[in-house]
Amino acid sequence: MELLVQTMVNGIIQSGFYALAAVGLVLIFGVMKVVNFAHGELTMVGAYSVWFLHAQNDMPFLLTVVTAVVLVAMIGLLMERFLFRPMTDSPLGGLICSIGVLFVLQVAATLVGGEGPSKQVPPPYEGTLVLFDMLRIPYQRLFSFAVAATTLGLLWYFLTRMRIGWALRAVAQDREAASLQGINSNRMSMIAMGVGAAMAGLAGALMAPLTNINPHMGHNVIITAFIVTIVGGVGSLPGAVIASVLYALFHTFVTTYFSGTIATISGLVIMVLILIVRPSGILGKRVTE
Amino acid sequence: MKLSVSNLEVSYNKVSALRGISFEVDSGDFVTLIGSNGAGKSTTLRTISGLVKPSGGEITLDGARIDNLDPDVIVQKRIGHVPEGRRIFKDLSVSENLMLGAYIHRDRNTVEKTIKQVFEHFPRLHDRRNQQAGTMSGGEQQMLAIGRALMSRPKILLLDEPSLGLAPIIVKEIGEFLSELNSQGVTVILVEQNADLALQLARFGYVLETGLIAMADRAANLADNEHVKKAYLGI
Ligand SMILES: Nc1ncnc2c1ncn2[C@@H]1O[C@H](COP(=O)(O)OP(=O)(O)OP(=O)(O)O)[C@@H](O)[C@H]1O
Ligand SMILES: [Mg+2]
Repeated sequence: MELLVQTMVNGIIQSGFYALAAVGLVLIFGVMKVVNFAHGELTMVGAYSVWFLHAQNDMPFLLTVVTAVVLVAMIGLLMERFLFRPMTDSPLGGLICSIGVLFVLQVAATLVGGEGPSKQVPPPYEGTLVLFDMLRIPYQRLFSFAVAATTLGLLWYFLTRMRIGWALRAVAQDREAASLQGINSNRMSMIAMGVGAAMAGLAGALMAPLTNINPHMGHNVIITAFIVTIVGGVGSLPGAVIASVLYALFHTFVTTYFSGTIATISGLVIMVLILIVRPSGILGKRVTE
Repeated sequence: MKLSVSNLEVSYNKVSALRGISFEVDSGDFVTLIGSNGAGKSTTLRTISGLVKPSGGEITLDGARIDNLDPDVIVQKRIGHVPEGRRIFKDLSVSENLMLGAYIHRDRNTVEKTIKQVFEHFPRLHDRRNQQAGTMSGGEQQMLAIGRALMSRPKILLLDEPSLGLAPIIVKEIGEFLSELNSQGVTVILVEQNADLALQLARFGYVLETGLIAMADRAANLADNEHVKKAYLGI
């Protein structure tokens, strides 16, 4: 019973990262119709920034998180302006460019951090919250989860209550019709890419003290983000969030009771099954036309 | 505002859709473009609103060229476009759709005043303002598409087959609304396959045939013309 509840709580906390990464991916795909294969590497850059600035150079943790977010958002903006925008009419072109960025960022990380064993960042928040004498939640995890949940809440507000949020959703649904309303779709692409990348950077920065940091850590992130996106329904932001929570619970349970590898493999199997049974995902719209 | 189109040519991947058409629309006019499938009606409207770039000729508004501008800039020149197939934002609510129609207006009072006017014209949109737009009937969606275009307070309104697929009673309602709008001073350019309706509403008409203007005359004269009757009115 104790283990069960503890695993559940761990799963929910884990879902914060997954949701941050997946929602960014969905936002970028929705508005720009580009699958950003470098999304995991954007997360990796976020984690590396924290390792380099905080663990290596003693910059205060919170400041490095902010720096990581800004840095990764800038990389995202550059990708939009110089790769995705010229490729607007060719989704495959955008995808190939993003794979190029993936390799470039991995090499850059190796140059900065060197090869060798994965890096660790000592958790800046020590101690553990103990609830009811049985639930143990390290403060570091609690902090990461709170930041992730708040960010998702803000994004929700932005997309449903603000004019620019409506405009983003309009561009995602019909770029041409949006431009007829006076919405500059290139500007919306920049916003989507900036916000999506910033969220990936934030996920990486928050993850940094809790995970092994290496140039290839993006793989796990992108696999997870893909699973979550497909389970939740391509293009559905609420779907991505719900799927993140479900997948994180599932992954954590399987990891706890079996192993991480089995968890990831069975996640992929579920994704394939969902693709076969219900290609539109849990909350995705049925594909029309 | 005077809109002039001169020698306009458009081609899609080297296949030409418009082969040099010219016409002028003065402030307060109500003109219609009729023609059969693929004649180039939509292409004409889409080029005016900047969705398609011409390969020749020019479009001017009060003498200034607008054919090189992007659609989001052309709306700001007060040209509204109700596109073929409505193209409303189906996942957004009715009022979110309307608010996006007013995207170019930052002044709250203007937007509130305009949305009130739209709701007065189309009370059904008001009843359904919180409903997801895609769940409404075809007629309601067309009203929303028109309402959304009105939210930008256009001086020139382009409409692409607003009657398509709608029940006759709703077509009539929309027709009456367009006449009323025009009497309030909005210039209307109506594209229709339903030539009957279009020639009743408009004062002047153009017949488009394979990318060229085949006839241009007062709407009443076109409605009496033997060729038009045979080819477009099904009489
Ligand atoms: N995006 C496009 N790509 C290629 N060809 C196109 C495109 N849009 C239109 N065309 C072609 O251009 C010509 C004019 O098309 P347009 O849509 O302007 O006709 P239309 O008069 O509006 O017809 P309809 O009554 O069917 O709407 C047609 O031959 C059409 O096949
Ligand atoms: Mg057409």
